[in-house]
Amino acid sequence: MLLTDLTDEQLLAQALAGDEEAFTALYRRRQGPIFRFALHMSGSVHLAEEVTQEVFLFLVQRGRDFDPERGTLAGYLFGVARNYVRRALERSYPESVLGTPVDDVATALMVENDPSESIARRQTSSAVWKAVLSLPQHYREVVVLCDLHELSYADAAEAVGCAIGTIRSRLHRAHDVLGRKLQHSAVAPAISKIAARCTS
Amino acid sequence: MTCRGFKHQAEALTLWELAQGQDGQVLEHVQQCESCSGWLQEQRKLAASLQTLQARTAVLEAGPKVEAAVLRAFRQNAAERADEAGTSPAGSPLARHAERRAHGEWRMVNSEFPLALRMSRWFEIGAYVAVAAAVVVGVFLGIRLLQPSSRPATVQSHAIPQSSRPLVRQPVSPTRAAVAPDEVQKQAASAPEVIAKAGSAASSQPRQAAARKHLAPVKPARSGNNQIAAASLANEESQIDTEDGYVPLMFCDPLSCASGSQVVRMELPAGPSSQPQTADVVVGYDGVVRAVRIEN
Repeated sequence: MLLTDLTDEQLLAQALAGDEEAFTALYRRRQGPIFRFALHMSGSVHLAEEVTQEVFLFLVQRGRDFDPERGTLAGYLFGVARNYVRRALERSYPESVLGTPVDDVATALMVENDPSESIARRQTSSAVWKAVLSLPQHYREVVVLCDLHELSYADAAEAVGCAIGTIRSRLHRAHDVLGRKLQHSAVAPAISKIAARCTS
Repeated sequence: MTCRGFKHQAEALTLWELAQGQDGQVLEHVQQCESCSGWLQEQRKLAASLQTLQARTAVLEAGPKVEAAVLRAFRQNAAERADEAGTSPAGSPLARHAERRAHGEWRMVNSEFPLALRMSRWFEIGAYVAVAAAVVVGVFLGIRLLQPSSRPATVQSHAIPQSSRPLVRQPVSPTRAAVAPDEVQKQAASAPEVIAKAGSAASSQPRQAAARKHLAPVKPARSGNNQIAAASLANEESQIDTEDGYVPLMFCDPLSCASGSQVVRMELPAGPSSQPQTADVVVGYDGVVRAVRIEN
């Protein structure tokens, strides 16, 4: 059986038994979402890499603590990443500082699919990212987990450590706030255009 | 469906599901309700904007350095676990032995590290306590040194005011032995008057009292070698005059020699080939010898 066919939990079990290839496969499968979660939450590539490393070092040392009956490994890893991000943000990025422009490196790394619309899309993406970063942390994390990473409400609840109903209500409130911010932003017309194109 | 029902239903869906508009009940209500339709439109815009951000950051990943660090930690952890379990890792026996030893040393250092941290903390506390104790002792000693010393100091000769110069003249017989009290009194009576300046606060007697001779009783000899005959003159206040042959034994200034003193005549023990000698010793009321004069 190929490693790519195994689930996250099976890969973890093999990794804990000492299989380096299984661990490497698990790392390569999960490091991207963890990195992007930290990046979306902080806007800093450096912090996102630091958090990614910490999460997987934690998995190496405390992987045996994971209980498959309580939830998925993805939700568990996002929960660990969430805690590390919070700690890092408290340490180096006070709440008032967030909302500042995203890391230049992160902006530069954004993919350009269509050169003709690259400027508008890049501006829209940056504006949306700034709006997300300006949200209070408990709203920001549910938006990032559920909207940007498409986690289910159950996985998001496991990651955040609260009930599913709490996730829903926070998400609903976060959408209201985010919608108002973007409505009054300079990129509102561009967003309308994109939305129209998506629905058509 | 009411608007309230619509909102409740909409909240149960994710943003992407709302944007895609696959729920029939929701779509049906939206066609009938303008405000809910507007709300749904806003949610779709929001979904579209978030999707833009999602698409543009979809390929971002952690750098290769992160993977290298994580894999290194995994190998180290695996080696430690193999060590603990007693199974030997793959490789030559020499390499295995070296690796095991390295990990053992690392483990030993690692386990001692917390102990070293604790010890260094106690050392630090001990250092602070020692410095504080040294400061306290230094302050205490400094205060003691600044206080007037009660030790005898060397008497320096200096000009004594005329009015306060004592004149102690007491002729002493060269061969003096233990004498009876009445004989001492006779000799003391022939001694010159002592003139001293009455300046001490303890003094309540005028100059005639200073001239009065007070003779201490003669102590009986204790042994054959040491016979001391004591004849003392009480002075209200006396200054040491080196011109009278006294050898100062301490520094005597108005502060240190403010108290009165008395002259004690002593008989020094005779040597095998010498005669006993007599000495006049000026002793302060604090018991400190101020000066001495050998009579013969």
